[in-house]
Amino acid sequence: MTSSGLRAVYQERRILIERLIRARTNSADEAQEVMQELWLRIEQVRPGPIADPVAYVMRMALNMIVDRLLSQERKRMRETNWVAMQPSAAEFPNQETKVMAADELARVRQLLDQMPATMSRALVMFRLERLAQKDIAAELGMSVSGVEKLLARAYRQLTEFQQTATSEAHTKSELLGLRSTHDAG
Amino acid sequence: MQVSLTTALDAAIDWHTKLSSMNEAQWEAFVAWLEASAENRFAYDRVAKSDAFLSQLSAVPSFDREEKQPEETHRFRNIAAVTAALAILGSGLLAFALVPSQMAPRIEQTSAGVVKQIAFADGNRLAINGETRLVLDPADPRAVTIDRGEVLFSVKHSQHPFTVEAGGFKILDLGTVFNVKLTDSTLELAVKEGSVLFDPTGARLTVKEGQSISVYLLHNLVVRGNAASVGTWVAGELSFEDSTVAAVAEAMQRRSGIDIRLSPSLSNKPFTGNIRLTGNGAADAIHLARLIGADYHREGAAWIFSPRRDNR
Repeated sequence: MTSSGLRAVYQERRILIERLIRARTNSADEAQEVMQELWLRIEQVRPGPIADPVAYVMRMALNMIVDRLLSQERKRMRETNWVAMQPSAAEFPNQETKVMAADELARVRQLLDQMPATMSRALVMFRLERLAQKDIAAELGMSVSGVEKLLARAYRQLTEFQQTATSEAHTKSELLGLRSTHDAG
Repeated sequence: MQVSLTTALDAAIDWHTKLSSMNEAQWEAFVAWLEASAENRFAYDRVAKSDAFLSQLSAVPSFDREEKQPEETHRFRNIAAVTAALAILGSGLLAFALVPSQMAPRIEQTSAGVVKQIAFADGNRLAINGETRLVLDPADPRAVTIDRGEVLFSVKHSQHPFTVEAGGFKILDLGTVFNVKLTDSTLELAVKEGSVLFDPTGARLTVKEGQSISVYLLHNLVVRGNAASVGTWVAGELSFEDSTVAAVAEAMQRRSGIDIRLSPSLSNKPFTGNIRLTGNGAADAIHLARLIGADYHREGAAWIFSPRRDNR
């Protein structure tokens, strides 16, 4: 697959791609921005052989949107802290690429540790090793539908855990804001 | 409301776990499902964010270690090292059985600002930048694994290829000079002389003299580029093209141990240019602050950069 092949897909299936992006963003402007970014990305990639180029471009778009959401979230969190305090060494993480604080990561790891061994193993094979579900099934000696159910349960736990963690973090930054207002007054 | 949200979440999870194997028609159905209701969109958003969160785990070595075969050995070695230390403390004979044999992998690790050069008997040379960890296999001196950091390889031509493993990819070399840099999110390969074969069992990309590739590990995206000055960091010369201030600070920290912390608005500022490190950390930090027009102050060993307050 050459990038010109992907360019053709982008042009032919533009409406479908745009509908996906529109459904995953908050405004038409933002959707336009993502469309343009996707086009630039397509110009740059030199992927290997691709079985289904439409699916490939759709996944590229989804990944880009998640990246944007995460960086917006990070920015918002940093700005909240930024207003509340003077700059100090502890406040800017040394590497911007380190997306999450180490303790948050540790908590996700803990969640994985608490899961039944086959469940966390399935999740790791699926998400981090990117194995197909039939390969995971073979590896774990279970049926494909069994793997599906296992992954669905794992994702449910993860999503619920994630929501608790996020609302806790928000409460924390709100509290910080409150205290600094008090100190200033 | 609560009920339909739960259903939406289940459906979102179902879609999400199928994404990697969906065909065009299924993608159309997925888009239609998203468009059907705000609840569906909200539910999918939650799943996608949780999933992105999970992907960060791959950056944590201790987690990988439990999953991958070669890493297993390091872990054993760490345990052995601790046990050996206990033995020295006097707890005795039992520990000796666990001390690694001479064939255990040799681990080279550098901290920020420390550059280490290694020459092998067959003429190959490695220059290891700071904040780097790599694993050498004593049984095969032509196989190196980079866990993190940056290494400049100078490899003599031989019938047996020299292999580098980094970020889950293999690089095959038949006698060249090339640089490999692995961070949490990217693998960068730049070739100074000769050519190398990247990902010999998968993409099979040939990277020639003056070329580079960047692999965005999270998305498995490969982007080709040009490599103007490969491995000049060894001599303290850092060169950046269409890069960011954050990347400059990171490279300076790796090479000379200067701890520069950037305010969020500075990190993403574009940067193109060359920086010659003097070896004097303070001078180099102040030089960078002036180049990018930032205010700076010190806090212990750290240099804090913030945007200049007024535009005089």
